[in-house]
Amino acid sequence: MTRRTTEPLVDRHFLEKLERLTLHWQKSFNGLVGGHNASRFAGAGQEFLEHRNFHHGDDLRAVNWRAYMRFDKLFLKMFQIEPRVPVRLLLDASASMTAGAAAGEITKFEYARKIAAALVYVALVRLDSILLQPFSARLLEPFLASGGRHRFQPAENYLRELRAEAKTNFFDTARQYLSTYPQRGLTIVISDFLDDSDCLHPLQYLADFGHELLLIQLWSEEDRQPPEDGEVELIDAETGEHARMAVDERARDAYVHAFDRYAEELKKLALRNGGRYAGLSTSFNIEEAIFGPLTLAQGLG
Amino acid sequence: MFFLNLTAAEFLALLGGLSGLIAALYLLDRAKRKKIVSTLRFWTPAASAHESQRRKRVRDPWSLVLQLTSLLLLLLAIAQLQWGSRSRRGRNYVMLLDTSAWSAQRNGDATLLEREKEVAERYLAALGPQDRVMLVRADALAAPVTPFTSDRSQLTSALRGMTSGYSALNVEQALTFARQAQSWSGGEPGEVVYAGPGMVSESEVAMQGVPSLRMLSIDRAREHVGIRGMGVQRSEAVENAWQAAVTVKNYGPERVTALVQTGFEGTAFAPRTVSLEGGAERAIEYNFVTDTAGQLVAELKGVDDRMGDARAALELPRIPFLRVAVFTDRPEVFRPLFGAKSRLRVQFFATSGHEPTAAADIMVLDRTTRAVPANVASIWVDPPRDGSPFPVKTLVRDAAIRNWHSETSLGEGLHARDARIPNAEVFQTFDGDVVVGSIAEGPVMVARGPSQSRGATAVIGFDPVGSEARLDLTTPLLFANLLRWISPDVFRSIEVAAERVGTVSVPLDPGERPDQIHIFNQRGMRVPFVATKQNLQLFAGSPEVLHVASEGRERVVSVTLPDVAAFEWKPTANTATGLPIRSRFTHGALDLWRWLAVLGALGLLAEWMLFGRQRAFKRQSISPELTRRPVAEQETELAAK
Repeated sequence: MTRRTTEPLVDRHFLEKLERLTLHWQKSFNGLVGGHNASRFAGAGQEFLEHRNFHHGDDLRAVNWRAYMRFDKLFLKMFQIEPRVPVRLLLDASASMTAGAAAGEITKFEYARKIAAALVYVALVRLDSILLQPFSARLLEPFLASGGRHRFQPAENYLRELRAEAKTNFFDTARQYLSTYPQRGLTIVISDFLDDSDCLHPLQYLADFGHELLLIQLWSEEDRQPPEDGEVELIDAETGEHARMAVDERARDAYVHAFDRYAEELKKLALRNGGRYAGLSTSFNIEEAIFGPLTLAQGLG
Repeated sequence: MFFLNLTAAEFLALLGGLSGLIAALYLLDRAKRKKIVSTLRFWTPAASAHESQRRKRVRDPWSLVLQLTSLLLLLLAIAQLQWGSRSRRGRNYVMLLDTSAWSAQRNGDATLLEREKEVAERYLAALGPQDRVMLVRADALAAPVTPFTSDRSQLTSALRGMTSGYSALNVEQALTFARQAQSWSGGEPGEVVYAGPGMVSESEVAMQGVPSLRMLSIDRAREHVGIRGMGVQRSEAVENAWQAAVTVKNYGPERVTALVQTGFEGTAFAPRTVSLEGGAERAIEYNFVTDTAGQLVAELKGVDDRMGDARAALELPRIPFLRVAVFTDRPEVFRPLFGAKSRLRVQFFATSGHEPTAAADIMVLDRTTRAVPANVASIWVDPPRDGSPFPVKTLVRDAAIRNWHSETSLGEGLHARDARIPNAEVFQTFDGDVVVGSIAEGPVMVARGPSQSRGATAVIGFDPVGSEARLDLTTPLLFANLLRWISPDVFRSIEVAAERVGTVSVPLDPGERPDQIHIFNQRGMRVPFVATKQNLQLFAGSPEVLHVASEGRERVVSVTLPDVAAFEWKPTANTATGLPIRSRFTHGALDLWRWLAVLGALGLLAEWMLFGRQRAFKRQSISPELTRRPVAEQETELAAK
């Protein structure tokens, strides 16, 4: 269960530190003018890119008349467009995000909300817009954060009101996402990626449709290294499925190995499609996570 | 095999309860627990298959076995399990070593106490190593020297440190103490052993012993003559005359003739020869005159001083006297008043003279006034109105005494009423003043206790030695009371007596009140006593000089003579005597509890090392550093493992 609290997700001191960061993406997207990320596509921008020969149909407003007077030949000035690339944050709000936390330990969902809040603030500072799109079995009600840092408070309130429940369904979520947001952009996925069905293929679909993926995988200590010993009855937080286990050291080692292999597959998927990956344990300090693994993964800079 | 602390039923009940508790905790610890997890996808099928096999048997059965075995061993240790026959287990013995005055008697080349120690050590050597012995010093009191212990070196050391006392053996008290000590110890009682000559008071001759009593009799010299007591009393009739009485007793069965030599401060009195039948005692009286302090010594000549009672000594105190300076112009009327008291040194001075007054303890000022030093008490007789130490309220003519305050010590014995007084001064009194006599108009005789600025002061507001009053008995009694009130120590009668160590009985005079009596020893410490029917009883376990002080009397009781019991104890016929056979005690039960405790602790340690530590380690095996490292790096490390 999500803890209802009135305290800010990120404190003021941390917000001040976030102001020097910027969201980065590696691909170039066709899009609207605006934002701060330079595009490799030439267009109606402010920054001069190069000259090329004039062709019929070109806009006469872009002809370099000074060069024509000098060389008696028409050259067209090319400008670099600055597209406003859609940045969307898919936030896992399934029941598994609240499981696996030891007593007194922060849940994955709470951790995810803090990470999301930090990313929203970074985007707002750079006058970017960012879409908060929670999901579980399907896409939930989104929230578009834009308009500068003073618009951060509504986004934080939105995040604080979110509840983690229901089962994850990455396949339906990806399909709905692609149909809802046809324009390509940076897609940040904060999740534990613990869908009992396959979630690698849906993520691949997103990448195939041109979205740049920034996968932030969260896990609690018990998710990765279960402390159970002896006979235990394990209940899946999302499906309610029961499994009776006799856990010993060998079984735990196999579990850890499988978990790490899965995380590595996620990472390979992101990198293979030009995206990035960061794996974070909830025991990791939020500030260190932002300035450490996320910055190292070049999601922030 | 038997249990010292627990019965078999108690042991089994305790073992069953604790075993059940441990088994329940064990099963609870290994019981299947439910837990909600984020996913089941990483649990391998092998783990669940393994589980189905394990469910059919107890996990870590050796852990449970080790725990239960350790519990059993520890409980057996607590129960003080011993191996051997129940009849051969260690018992609690009480050894009563006679340290009464008889134990100091030298018989042959050793004292009786030395022989007692020798036989006691032989008895200890005959006991088994598990047997515990309490060594008790038995004389007038039974005092334990050691607790119940099987430590032979401690017992031997305590035995060698024991010395003879001065009191007589109280065998009843010693046996009662031994029986109570055995019952309080909780263990199985062994014998009560008495080692000594067995000399008791007459009332204890037929004293019954305890069921398991053993007598280790020590032979004594049967012939013995000693001083039983010595008393000195000051004669009331003749000044500085003393009466002394020395009591000599023959403790042996044969007739004995002894020479009693008595002397005071080096002056020997005429020796007396006494002939005593067996068991008889006789008092020899002496009369002598002395006004000095000194030591009165009585000795028996011609007998062996085997027990320290052939010599008795008494310290006679100095008789104090009071210096009285009487300032009067009519010494002839005062002389009879003070001449009756032998402890007074009276000097008469004319009222007009200027004689020094520092040498006096009391000044009597007859119808005159004079400066009185601060440390000197004063008695003012019909003082001038302007020179009276107490303010005079009024003068009354032809008065009559209405009231003597006989409830005070000053008015004690004064009962004359309506005595006519030609002239009387009525005094103003203040808090603390004692009114001795009053007329209708107020007090005419007042006394005030000493203070820092002045000594005790008494004022008589009329002439008590006038022509009419001098014939009355009230006047000498009044002056006697005044002198006794001012200096009570001087007028105490003194008795000196030498008594035997042990219980001392002091008879009281009919007028003496027990609540007014204080007893203290030569170190000034109070000595407790019991007062019963004009008789004081106190106990002196060792020689000392006791002072019994009451209001008007002081007794010096020199408790220096040994209390030699005169009768032989004859316990019941079935009392064991002599040293026991050594083999009777040699094979004791083997004490196993230490080994069991060690084994139990080792079992628990092994269980923890084999199973408990592993569990604790597994629960703490998640390293935060490991989880914070990149996945690939962690995977590499795991693969390397």
